[in-house]
Amino acid sequence: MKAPLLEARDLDMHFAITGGLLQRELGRVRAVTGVNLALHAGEVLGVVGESGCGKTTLARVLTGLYPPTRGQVLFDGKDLQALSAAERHGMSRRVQMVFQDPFASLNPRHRVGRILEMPFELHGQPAGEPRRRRIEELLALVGLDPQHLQRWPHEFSGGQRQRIGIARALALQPEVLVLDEPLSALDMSIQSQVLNLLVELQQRLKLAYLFVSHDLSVVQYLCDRVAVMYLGRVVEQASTKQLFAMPRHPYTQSLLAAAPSIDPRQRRTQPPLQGDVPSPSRPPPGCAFHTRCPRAQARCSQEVPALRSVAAGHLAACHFAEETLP
Amino acid sequence: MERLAIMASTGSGSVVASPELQIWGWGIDPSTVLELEGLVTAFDTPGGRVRAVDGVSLRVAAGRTLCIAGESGCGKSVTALSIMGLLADKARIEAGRIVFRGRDLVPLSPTERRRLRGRELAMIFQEPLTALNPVLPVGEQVAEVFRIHGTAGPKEARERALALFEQVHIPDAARRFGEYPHQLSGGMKQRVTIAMALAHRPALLIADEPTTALDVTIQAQVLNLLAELQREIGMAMVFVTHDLAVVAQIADEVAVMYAGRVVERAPVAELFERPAHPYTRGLLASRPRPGQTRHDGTPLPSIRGSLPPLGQRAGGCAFRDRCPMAEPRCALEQPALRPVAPAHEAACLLLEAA
Repeated sequence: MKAPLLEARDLDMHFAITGGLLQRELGRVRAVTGVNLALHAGEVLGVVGESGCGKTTLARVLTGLYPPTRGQVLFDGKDLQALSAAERHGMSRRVQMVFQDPFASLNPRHRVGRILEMPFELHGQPAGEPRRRRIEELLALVGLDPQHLQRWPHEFSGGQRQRIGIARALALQPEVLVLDEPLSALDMSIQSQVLNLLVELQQRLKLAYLFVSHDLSVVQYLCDRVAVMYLGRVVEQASTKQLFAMPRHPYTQSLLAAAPSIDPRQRRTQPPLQGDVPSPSRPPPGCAFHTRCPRAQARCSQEVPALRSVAAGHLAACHFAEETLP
Repeated sequence: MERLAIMASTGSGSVVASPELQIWGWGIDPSTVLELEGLVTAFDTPGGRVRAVDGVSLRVAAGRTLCIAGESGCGKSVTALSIMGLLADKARIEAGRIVFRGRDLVPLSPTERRRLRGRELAMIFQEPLTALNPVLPVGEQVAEVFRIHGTAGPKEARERALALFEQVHIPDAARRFGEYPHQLSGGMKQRVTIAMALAHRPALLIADEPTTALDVTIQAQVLNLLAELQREIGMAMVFVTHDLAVVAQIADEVAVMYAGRVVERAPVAELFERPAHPYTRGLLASRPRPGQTRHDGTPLPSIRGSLPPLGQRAGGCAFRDRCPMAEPRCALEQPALRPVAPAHEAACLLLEAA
């Protein structure tokens, strides 16, 4: 298999909680712990999990927005932290991000034309006719019109703004898009429009996507592979087909069971999980899921389960992954 | 449970028909708790008056759940706030009736409305923090509901609040009672607001996107809790949501709203099996089905365009610019709801009446 385009190796991202007069460190939020993940060229990898599981932090570390506490992010085999600032900046052209909230991610004081010129300026590409043509191309690519360049972000609907955010991310012809919940702020009738656009762009431009989402039906539709996160760790990883057909980790099983079905004949009578997600600043010892796991045993509160192969191309971090088939 | 039984007998929210209802007698289904008739709610904006809710008629019976489904800007939350009497100063009910237990709420004074709120009708919100006081322990906030309405003394209010904490399954209730909102998770905070809302065993609960801010495993817990409490109390519920999967899980009847109007109304199974309005059909078709992937080669069917902003909704059918079936007459005539099957109505000129 070819080397991955984007790779996380033993990645930790911890944030210090400071307080008091001297701003001493009082504790740490372990947002991401020991994550290994690989994204190959042209592939769509989904990252799913509930709020606080670390999926957004992971996305930001992978795009170079945060330097990791420990471990490495490799792009095209090169460790981002080992590069000079200038080299890292050059690399950032190839990995771009699309944010969740299209109302917060566009500067309200800039016209759309200005917003789309920014990436070119930041990467030292001269103004002029070719750049203008490229910006018009970008608009056409995401289904907007050249006359929109003179407008302000507030004149657009949520779906149109998300298209502008996607156009901005595509400006410098990246190879990877990291998409952090790009549909969840949109209305239902708009979500499928943007989802169709993402599918079309991925095929046309041969992009690799890291698609962060909590919407399992969209992940199942869009992604080739899926990683499931719980309290900062990847607990399961498999091809989309395999993961949805045969989830091995009890958390994945509960997550799939908790998603409400669109069919009123398939009503759930019992919630699949009791209790809340523990705080990432005080993760439980052993397997972080043992406090809610219906199958937890003594060993689970003592020993952190390693993410290991349970079938071809299928990883799970559960001591009892062989016994937990639904 | 014993204490709850006592609450039920002494509580003020017992399900006794109001005098008006008894006078009207025939013609009204006695189980009907709430009936909206041609509700119009308008806002004053710099561009003039706009109707956020434009002629909505709905009905919900005791022990039943009516889901109002729609996207942002469709008027579903304004409908809910109109029922509660919690509209902003710029908003006014221009026409229509809100008949609650046989009595029209529209002409009531703010004081009379306040007396009903929190007793006979109650509401929970999307963001529980907006309903909680950040500097008061949560237990006191629940106990306060009894004190405000004068339905219990300090000691009894505390006991009843604690019983409510147990009823909404807050683990370790006695300890949680003294904690502040910021110490609780989103799911726990929502349980606290549910406890407050149900303190007087209301005849009607309005839930405005109560699980939208919650994670899917917590959403499942809260939906289950609401269904359980509804069985215990027998209240009617109006559940406002944008999420069709949640509708499928919790509704008995569904009203789909678009641009301030109800465009389709049906029992839940009927709506999902035989959606009639092109908008409802488009929404249901646009969701990826299990097993469908991007490699299937055909894009997901999607509704083109977006909802016209308030104030730019001309006559005719508001959906016509996005509708794949629109005809010239759709611009001329505003479609009214009419039956398309038993108990199933849709507002589309192109549908054959049943």
